[in-house]
Amino acid sequence: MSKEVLLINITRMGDLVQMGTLLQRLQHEWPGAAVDLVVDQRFAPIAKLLPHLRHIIDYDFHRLVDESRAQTKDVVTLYREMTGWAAPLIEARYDRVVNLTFNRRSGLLASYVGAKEIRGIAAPKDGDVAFITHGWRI
Amino acid sequence: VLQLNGARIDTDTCMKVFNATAINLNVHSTTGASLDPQADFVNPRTFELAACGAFQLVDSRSQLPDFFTDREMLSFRNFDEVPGLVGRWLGDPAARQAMAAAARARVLGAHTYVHRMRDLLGHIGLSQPDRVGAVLRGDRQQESLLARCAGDAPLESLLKDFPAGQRVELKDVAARIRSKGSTATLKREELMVLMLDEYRSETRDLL
Repeated sequence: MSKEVLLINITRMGDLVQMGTLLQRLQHEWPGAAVDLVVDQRFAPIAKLLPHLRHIIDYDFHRLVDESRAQTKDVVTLYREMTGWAAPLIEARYDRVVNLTFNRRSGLLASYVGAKEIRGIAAPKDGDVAFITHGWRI
Repeated sequence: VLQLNGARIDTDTCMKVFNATAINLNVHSTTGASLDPQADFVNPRTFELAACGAFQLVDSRSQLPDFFTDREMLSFRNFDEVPGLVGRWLGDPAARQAMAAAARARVLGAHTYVHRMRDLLGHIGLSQPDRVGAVLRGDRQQESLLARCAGDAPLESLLKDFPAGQRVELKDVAARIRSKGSTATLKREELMVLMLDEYRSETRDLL
């Protein structure tokens, strides 16, 4: 059975372009691996140009900033919309999540989705909630 | 021909005229002798006639398919077509009524001022424009939020310990999670709230 991988690379054009090497490396390590990508919807058209991607799962993260900051949506609405969007990510039961977006938000998302292995920023399983682990840093 | 010496016809009279007319000929304004060769916008009269349930024959517009299908709206590309269309549809009242009813349903379902205002407010970041009203009505109080959890047990667990009557926002739920301190094990729903709260505290260019 082929491996399933989720990449989190929410924004920045350069980061997306440089992801090509990682996509090749994943296919070398796990031939035929199904690789999905979470990306901001503004970058989805660019992401579609990349090879070796199964699904591009986009979201309007800009709107999320607006809606949460301005409190235009209450906490129940925000939560249910976001968990509804993320539900298929959990159900996929990825073998590996690779989080390439260097911030706390993406780390929390990576941990929320969960996987047998998370590379990159993730929230700790326990401990200080303000601390973010990062397997690539000493 | 209905004329009132150039005076405006009031809305009630317009509706009577629209509905008393078997085929309303709705021709958009044009500066030339014939129809506008680059016709684009759809005039308000198109929607008003449709909302009245009145049957109309409208000159073709490039934006018309954005609002109506050809089962909801009958259009023509040049005046030569009009006599034939009028003759054919005058003889089929049931078909006229069906098309007019379909157009009316479309307007009421998608093209009212309420729809347009929602779109407009959404574009400027107010997709839930009744925020103040929601707060004043108590829609953001703990018990109201709990009632809208729709059986989502993890979400309910995040809200149930707030006192009834207290307004609860995202930042309050996040603060309660953080207050558990460094020995807490984060549940999945708590990770979600903390993530949302991170977005709340960010600026757009730091996604």
